[in-house]
Amino acid sequence: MHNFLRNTAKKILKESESLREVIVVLPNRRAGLFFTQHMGTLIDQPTWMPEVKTIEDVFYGFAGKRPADDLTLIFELYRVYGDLHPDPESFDRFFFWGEMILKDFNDVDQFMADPDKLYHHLAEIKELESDLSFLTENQIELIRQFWNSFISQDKKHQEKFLKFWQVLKPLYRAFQSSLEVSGLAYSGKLYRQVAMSLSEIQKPEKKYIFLGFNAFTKTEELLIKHFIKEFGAEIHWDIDAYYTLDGNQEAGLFFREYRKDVILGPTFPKELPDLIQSKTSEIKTYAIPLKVNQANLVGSLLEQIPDQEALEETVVILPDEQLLFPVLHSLPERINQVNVTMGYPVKNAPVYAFLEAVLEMQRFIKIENGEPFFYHQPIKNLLSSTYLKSVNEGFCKGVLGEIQAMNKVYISRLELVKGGKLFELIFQKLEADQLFPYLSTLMQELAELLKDDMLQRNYLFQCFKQLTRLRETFEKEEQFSVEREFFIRLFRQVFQEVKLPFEGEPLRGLQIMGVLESRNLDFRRVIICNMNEDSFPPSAGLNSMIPFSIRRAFGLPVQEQNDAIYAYTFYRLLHAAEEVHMIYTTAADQGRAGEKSRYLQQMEVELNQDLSEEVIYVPIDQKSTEAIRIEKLPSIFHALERYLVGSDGHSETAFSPSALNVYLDCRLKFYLQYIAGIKEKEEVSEEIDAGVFGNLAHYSLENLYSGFIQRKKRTQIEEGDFAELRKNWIFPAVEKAIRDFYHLEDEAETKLNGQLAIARDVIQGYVDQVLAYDASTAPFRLISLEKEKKYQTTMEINTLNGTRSVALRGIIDRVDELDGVIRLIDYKSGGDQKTFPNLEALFDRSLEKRNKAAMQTLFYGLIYQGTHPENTAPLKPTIFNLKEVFNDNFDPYLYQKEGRKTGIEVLDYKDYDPDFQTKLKELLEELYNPEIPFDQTEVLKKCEYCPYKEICGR
Amino acid sequence: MSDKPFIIYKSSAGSGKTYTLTLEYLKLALRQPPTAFKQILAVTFTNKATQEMKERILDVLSRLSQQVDEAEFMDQELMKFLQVDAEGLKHKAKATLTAILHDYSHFSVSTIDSFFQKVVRAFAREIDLNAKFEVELDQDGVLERVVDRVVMQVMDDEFLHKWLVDYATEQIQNGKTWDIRRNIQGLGKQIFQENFKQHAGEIKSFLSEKENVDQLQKLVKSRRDGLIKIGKDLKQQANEIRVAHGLAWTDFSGSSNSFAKKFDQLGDRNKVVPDITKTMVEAIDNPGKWYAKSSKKINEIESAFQSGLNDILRQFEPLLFQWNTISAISRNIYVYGVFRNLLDDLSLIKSEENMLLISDANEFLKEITYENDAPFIYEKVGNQYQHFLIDEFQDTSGFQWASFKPLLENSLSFGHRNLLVGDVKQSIYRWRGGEMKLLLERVEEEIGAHLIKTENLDTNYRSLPRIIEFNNALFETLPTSFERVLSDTYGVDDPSILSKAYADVKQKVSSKKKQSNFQGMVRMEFLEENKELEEDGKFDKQVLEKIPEQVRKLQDLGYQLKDIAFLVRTKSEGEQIADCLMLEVTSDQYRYDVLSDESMYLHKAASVKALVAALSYLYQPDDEVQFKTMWYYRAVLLDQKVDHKLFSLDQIDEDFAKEIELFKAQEQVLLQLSLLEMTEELIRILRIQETGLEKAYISGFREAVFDFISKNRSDLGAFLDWWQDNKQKRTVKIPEGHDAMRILTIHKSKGLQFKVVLMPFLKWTIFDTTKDNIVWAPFKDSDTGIQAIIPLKLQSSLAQSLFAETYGEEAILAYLDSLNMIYVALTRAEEVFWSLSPYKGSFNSQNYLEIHLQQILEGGIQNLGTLEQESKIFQWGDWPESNIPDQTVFQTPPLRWTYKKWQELLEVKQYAVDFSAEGMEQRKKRNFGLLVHEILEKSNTLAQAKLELESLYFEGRLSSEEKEEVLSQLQALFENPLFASWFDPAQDSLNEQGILLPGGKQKRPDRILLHQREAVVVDFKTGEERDSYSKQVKEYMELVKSLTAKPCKGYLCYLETGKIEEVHA
Ligand code: SF4
Repeated sequence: MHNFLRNTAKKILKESESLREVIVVLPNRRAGLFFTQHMGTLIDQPTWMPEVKTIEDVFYGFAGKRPADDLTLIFELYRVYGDLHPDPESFDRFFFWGEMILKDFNDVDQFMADPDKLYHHLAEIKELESDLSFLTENQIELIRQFWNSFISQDKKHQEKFLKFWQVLKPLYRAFQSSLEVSGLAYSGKLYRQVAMSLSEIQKPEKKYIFLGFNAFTKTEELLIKHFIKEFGAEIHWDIDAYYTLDGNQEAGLFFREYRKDVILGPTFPKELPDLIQSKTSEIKTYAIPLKVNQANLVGSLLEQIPDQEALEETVVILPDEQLLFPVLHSLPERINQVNVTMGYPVKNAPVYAFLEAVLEMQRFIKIENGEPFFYHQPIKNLLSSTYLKSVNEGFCKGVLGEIQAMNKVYISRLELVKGGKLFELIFQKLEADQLFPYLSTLMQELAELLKDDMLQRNYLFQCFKQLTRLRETFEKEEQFSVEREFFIRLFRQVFQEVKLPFEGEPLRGLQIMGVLESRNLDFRRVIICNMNEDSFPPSAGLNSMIPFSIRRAFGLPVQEQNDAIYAYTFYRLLHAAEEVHMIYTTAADQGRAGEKSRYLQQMEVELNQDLSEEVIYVPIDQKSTEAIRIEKLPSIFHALERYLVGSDGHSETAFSPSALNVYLDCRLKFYLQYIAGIKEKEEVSEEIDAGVFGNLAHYSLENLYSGFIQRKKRTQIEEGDFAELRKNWIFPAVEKAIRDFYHLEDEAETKLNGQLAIARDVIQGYVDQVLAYDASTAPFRLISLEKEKKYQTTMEINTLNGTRSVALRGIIDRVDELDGVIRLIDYKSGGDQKTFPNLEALFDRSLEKRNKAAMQTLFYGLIYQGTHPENTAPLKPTIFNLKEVFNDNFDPYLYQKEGRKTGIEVLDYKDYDPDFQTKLKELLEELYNPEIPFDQTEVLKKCEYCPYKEICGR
Repeated sequence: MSDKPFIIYKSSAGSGKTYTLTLEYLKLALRQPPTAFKQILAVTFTNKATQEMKERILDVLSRLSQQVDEAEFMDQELMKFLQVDAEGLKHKAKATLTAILHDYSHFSVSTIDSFFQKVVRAFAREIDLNAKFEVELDQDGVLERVVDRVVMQVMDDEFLHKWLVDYATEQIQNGKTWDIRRNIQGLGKQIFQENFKQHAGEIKSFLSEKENVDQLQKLVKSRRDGLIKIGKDLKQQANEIRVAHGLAWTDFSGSSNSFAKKFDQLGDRNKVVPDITKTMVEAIDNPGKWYAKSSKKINEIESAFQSGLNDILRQFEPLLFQWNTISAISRNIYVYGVFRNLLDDLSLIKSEENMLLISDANEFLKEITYENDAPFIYEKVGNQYQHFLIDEFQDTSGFQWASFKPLLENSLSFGHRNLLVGDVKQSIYRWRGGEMKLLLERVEEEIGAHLIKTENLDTNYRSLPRIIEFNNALFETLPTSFERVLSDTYGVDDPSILSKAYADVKQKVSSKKKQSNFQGMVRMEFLEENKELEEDGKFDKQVLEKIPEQVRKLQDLGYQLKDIAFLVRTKSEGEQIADCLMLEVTSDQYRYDVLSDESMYLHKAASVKALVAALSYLYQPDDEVQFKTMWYYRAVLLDQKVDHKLFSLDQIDEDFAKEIELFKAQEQVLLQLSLLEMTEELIRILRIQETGLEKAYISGFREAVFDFISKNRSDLGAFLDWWQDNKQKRTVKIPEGHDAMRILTIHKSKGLQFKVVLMPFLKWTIFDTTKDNIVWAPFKDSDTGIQAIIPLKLQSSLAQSLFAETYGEEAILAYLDSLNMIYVALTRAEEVFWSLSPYKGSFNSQNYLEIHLQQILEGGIQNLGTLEQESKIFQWGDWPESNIPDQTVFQTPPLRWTYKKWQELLEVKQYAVDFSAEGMEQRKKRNFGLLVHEILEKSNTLAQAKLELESLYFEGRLSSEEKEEVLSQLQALFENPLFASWFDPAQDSLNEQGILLPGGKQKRPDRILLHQREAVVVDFKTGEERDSYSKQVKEYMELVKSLTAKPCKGYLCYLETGKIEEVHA
């Protein structure tokens, strides 16, 4: 098999007297490693290694300097920019622009453009045109073309363009001087510096051999040519006739140019290798609907590697780094060694999510009485993270539980720090300038925690490095006072880009790499994923402030050059490959089309090889889910026994009207809730939904009336009492209800906030309206208000084990006596109806709109009478539907009403008692009937708000 | 070349639009190969269309570059246009093909959106965007975050607080649930609509004064109270009159259902005036209508009529008019007040998160093309366009057109050829801003008819004759039928736009199809509801019964599954069809495979349910429901028994208990994984893939996670929220070529064609006012001078209000939408169209499509027959002869589904003082030995060492303080002259090279120095001194000795202590 690095190594070995005297320069470090490895397989006794360098090393070596990191440079740039610009934007807004400007400066230097001419102004165009020494006709044409497009001067955007364009020239100059002063540099600056003083370089003692280059920057070209011409350096090209000789192939763009060059030209072999066309390879294309399924396919392709074949002969190229883990997950057993050479975004790591959550928490803190309170959402995220749990799981669970149970919206620091040291560290309110040390300590603490998770630690370390840079830079630049929001934005922007470089043992095992990493390496089997436009080649980013024509005029690379570089990396992979598998995805979502890569299209039309394409289909085979029916096993009866009165005359529990309503709505729901006892989650919610709203209104009324009884020591309320009630007592009653409900009793000083404040204001209006109604019916006598009293009774039913007695119990919101009638009052907030056609309908589970409220209030009648068998007064079911209290003719009573007939007011429960009891008995007997399983309701409407609808899939 | 450079093709369905576009594209591209193609921008509507267009162009080019066929119409046209012979054309085609393939970035066939984004990106700096903005497609998600933020500010903003309290109170008073967020969100969506953006300036300036909304609100309230009072007064008056005449309301005509009872309903605070019925309108001024002939109280009633009841009745209407107007304004007024906060916070979020909303792109572009000259834009974008080909022009929005116009005008001014292709009749994207009036008339008005040549593509190449004939006939009648309803029911003065749009609907049959054996068929079945069967007799149930039969029938005829498509109007209809076919059992004879990008939701699969439940549980471990849901679906997948043991908390059996324990033991580990890995691990732990079922669903879910993390950080809670919001968009994906029936909405079917089209739910409401759609209308109150653009909910009550005109316009557009929709649906079929609709014996409203169809067919449609009385079936054409093709088997390479724990395989490179265990140890002790080592092994001199140190600092591995420490450590070492001598620049050192051993192993002592007479080897060490070290150095010395043939000295140097030890051979 052809192998560029090995072949070249062989040649060098043959031609050099001593490797000691050789310096091999490659485009990147990895190629160097492979090169040395190959060299080793070619020798038969120990020998000095040649010096292996990257082109960067060479330049930095001659420059005697290394470039500073981007962040430092951008800061420096921003400082200079601030001096030049009357009204500079904030640093975080400048950040990306700065990155772009820096890149432009780098290009300008790398390509040896004259910055003064390049960043010229429209007005200077004449001058340029006459500058014959420098610009060709063609270049002038391009420049003219750009400025011609610019003719109308009065347009807003053009002016804006000019404004920032004009800054660039002085910015470039000022930036250079400031770098001189600080001794810093960016790489282009160093390259230019070296290229400008080539004549000063002394003839090296060793021989330079350049390997595997494709596209030079101007400075590189100058240096290499100088070395060839003056110092007899060699250059070896990793090249193929296929794309070099065909003038249309962009992959050969640079080679064609270099072949024409006086100095470089002769370094090309007379006869170019013709590897791509001359061998027959197996080339297969696969179309696959989903991105992740590429990994499954890669897995199965790898399975087919013959056992005797070395893994190193196969490479998997991943243009999209995200695919790395899916591919790793699909590796077949026999792959026992892998080398990954690519970056992986740190933002995908859970530990990064944790860090962000920590910062997020800082955004929503309120201070009360000098103590910080944190907003519940980020706190919940943090507490449920594994990092805090692993330190003090019990504590986290406890606090989380409390937040749930008490519906806490803000959590105090005092409470959170009880968790231990780490908690103390994390839960602080920070001033902006404390953020750096805070995060830095936190990262180290976390790393300690992650003892055996090397990967996560590495993620952290990458973050830490960035943070250190940021910190160093900020600490030096005193004039930037960091604001918290700004810091968080900057943190996001900088860290979103951080990648974890995977660099394992590079020479062994299956090779998985990104596109550019494959440079100069040859493999027998090549598997490439994401053969889609926008992935390979990647989408053309427009990332220069210099307009195209101008770039072109000054020899700076444009899209064409980029395309050529990517095309070369692709076709180069075909040099040696005998088996090529290329996978592209067809799903078009998220605005991205699943468009085949141009390379596939080029090959189809031009390459004289058999290409086969397969469409991959992933079978659907949906599993059908059957209806759920829970048969009444003996253990279920055990649970049901608890509702029956035992030999001691007591029952463990009793049926409430809501349990019965649930059973009527859906037998399965009753089962899940009351027998299996599956608790639904309670959510902290600031949102006051209808249910909570109803509860709050009802507690308010309870507070109000029980307060009245306590104060006045009487239960009779006269019409005259209401004025005072309405004036003075609504507010405290409502306030208390809310505080009780949200467990805010201890925080008397805390003002209600957000939705709670709205709720309070709204509920006051309500309670007032109810009082207005009550006033209009007064006087009445309060008999009981909810908690004080439980009403209960029992009922005989027939079961398999003979007659048993079932316990029934209920809590009635309010019982009072009005004109000798006992009213059994329920407060409702929903859209409950106050009419029902007949008793049957209350027990008819097939009805979508079965009147639960009627059922419930009639049940109250039953238990009231059960509790007070002596009672002879009429029992009147009453429903205060909060939605209706504002109606002009509010009427809280229940009506029996069939169809369009006029309704009959239910005046006394006792009129219904025998029939109600019969129906209820039937119902309970069914519940205890082993033949009837707990099954799902057929009325889908009932599932709408059922907590178990996930289970039922409804 | 035509002297009119601007060509508009009106392309009815199936008229070979893509063909025409391709031809036109090639005409331009081939004129000057190889570069001419770079100057063409072809714009399509969807990504898919873009791809098809590209493929089509490349296909034709590659055919032409091999063989020109003089019999082909396209080839002829091209030769004629380019004035070349076959050889010449071949040549040009080849050159162009090569040029395109190798300069693919300039092959500009793109969607409007991506072209716009490209321009916006190029102008980011000028329009004050950040350099690296993300284009955000999920606008609802953004809005949700905005709303959350706004609600949090409640206490800090007095107006906001007041609006929200008032709003909440009113909501409940009106018997509605109080869910502030949802309502704000509903209206908030408007922000992204062009409809809103058009008025955005005025609205924003109105809202900028907080008092304005308050005043408007006060106005509404006082008007409202005023009206209620009037209503109450009238009611009282009416009752007084009634009582004075000794009457009860039931004495009036209609007795217990008498219209007179409505007097009693006046003044209700929720609705001041009851709805006015026809009877009431007729009763005005017509006393005879007020009593039954047999009534004994005729006189009293007449007298009451005279004494004022008639006058009161007459006031119903004007009162209702005012009431409706006020109600319409008040309906959204509170949320409107909040809009200001929404807008503010939206722009904050946008800058914080560095994003550009997709809906903003159009707005910006409009600004850019307006602000700049075309050449400048091209310079910035890097592409010089001379020709524009715009496809699907009927769906272009006003903003989009405004953006394109300057570019087009620029091109036209040079006499360059440009092209619009579209069909007003297929404009069904109005809800996305599509503005079909552009194509219908405006472009012509704006560009000028003298530049425009209109071509009508009037032959249908897609369908068989019967289909075309039917459509020709139907669409001659249907527009007028719709127009009639518009005039009669909606009081629209001039609905003629419908006929205008359909003026050119008649199509010719292509000669090829004319000769086909089978002439095609249209079959429309109307099903009567069967009341006796209750549920089962309902239309939907009947349809679902029939669908499998239809599928079998078609297979009997020899149609393959991929020939068949179900068109539906809503995704939920599609879902029903998919669910129903999923239940059918495949046999030798029949298959029922369906595929749908819109209806086969991932979240319906047991495996996905189990996974989502598992993730939710991990996020909130006290959620028992999720925990149980997870195990339940796992049991379903593995065919385990579903009983009390599965659900109960205390009765589970041993095996299951063990499994639960195992799962719980892994919870913490799971939580440390990234989302994608967590999902993969769960799939493994829960054995979800064990049965091999549901692979497409499981993959789809993994893909969803994959997509999520590529945009967001790996945050479980955020993912679950995202899933909640996005699961309705996630469906199973199946490759195009797969042999299965398609289910798709009419919207998605545009541009597609199928042999057989089934429409099992052919019915819909035409003007649907229950959807809470919003329109913006100007309102001006002359008394107070208040003036604003008001968001109105489209409701039928608007018809009787100040906004009646707006309402009427909406009605026209809604009718046009429906008309276009059914046009698109009916023209998808190549051979057979088969629909099911409900049959209505009687009806009140004609606001239903199926009623129109039924009426037209019952009346007989030209000479194509009528709806069969008995069977209620209309059929034009006959079934084809059965022709069963040979089945080809579908096979693909296997995929690997087994999950591998990869962690053991992968190593991550370690660095000194990194976060590895040792690194942390060093960090804590400030022990920089390893770091010094790392520096020294790369350096030849002290100066170089300092450079290396600098690099480490720039990498962030050291703080400046630490850097100083390392530096002093280095300097300390160099103080030792022996040590310093190793780094004397004057000597020959070889440490960067090292020694290569056969096989590839390397030996790299830290320093190798070659002196005149001897060699020196030095190795640096950190930590404890060890005896083994000297052995290593000896080995080095041996090697160096043999390589240099010189005596060799060896040293060990401990970097922390600076101790140097000579090693003797
Ligand atoms: S979702 Fe429906 S069927 Fe399932 S338990 Fe709840 S109510 Fe019953």
